[in-house]
Amino acid sequence: MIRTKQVGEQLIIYLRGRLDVQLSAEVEREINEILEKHPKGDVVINLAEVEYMSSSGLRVLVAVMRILKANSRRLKLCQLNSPVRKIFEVVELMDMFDIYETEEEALAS
Amino acid sequence: MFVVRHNFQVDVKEIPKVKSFVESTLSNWGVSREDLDDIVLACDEAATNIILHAYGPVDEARRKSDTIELTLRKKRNVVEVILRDRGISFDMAKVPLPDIRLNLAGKRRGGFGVHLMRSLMSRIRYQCRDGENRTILLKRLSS
Repeated sequence: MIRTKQVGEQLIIYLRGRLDVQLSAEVEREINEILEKHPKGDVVINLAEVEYMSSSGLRVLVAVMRILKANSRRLKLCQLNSPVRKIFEVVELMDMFDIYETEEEALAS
Repeated sequence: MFVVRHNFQVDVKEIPKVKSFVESTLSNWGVSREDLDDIVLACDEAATNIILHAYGPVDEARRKSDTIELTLRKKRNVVEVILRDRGISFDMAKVPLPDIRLNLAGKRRGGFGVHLMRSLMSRIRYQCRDGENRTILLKRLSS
């Protein structure tokens, strides 16, 4: 069960644990259900508690960004830990995503 | 020289076991955290590719009877990983670089895994002989 928090018009989604091939499909399905229930406003995904991410997790985030962009909504990521940040750097996606150090910065942008 | 070998089922449920096996082995061998994280992720991506692509079109019975053999070898400052399987030939070298614009347009899904492996490891090779696929990953350790 993915935890969420509504702050004004923005929705924060808290991901945790492993985002690997075994769990990513389930996470993607849950996020899609959340987005259907919250059809407006920008979305912040807090990755502070994601301990491991493979390319399967990256694919989920790209898919979420695609859905939001199609509806003129923004996806913002925050609190990437060091191994997760490294993946974004290695595949040169740091510039493609809006990435913030803290949740407050993401919400304020 | 250190060598260990383990067989895994052809199932995505095995991926956490692949990670645990590689992580505990490299940790016992004294590999640094940074190098260890790179090798664990590369092994995850390689095994995932074998399960999803080499065995994607393969029937259930064969998926259950086949295994993926993973060998870890450390000699001086080099770690070599060899994954052997008997699925459909899948040459990672032919996978194009990921294109985020195509992904966002919904015209392509993924392509990040092979790019991650190429970037995190010093060298990757693929061989197919007598129906056996070998994915070979080399990492020159930084410390």
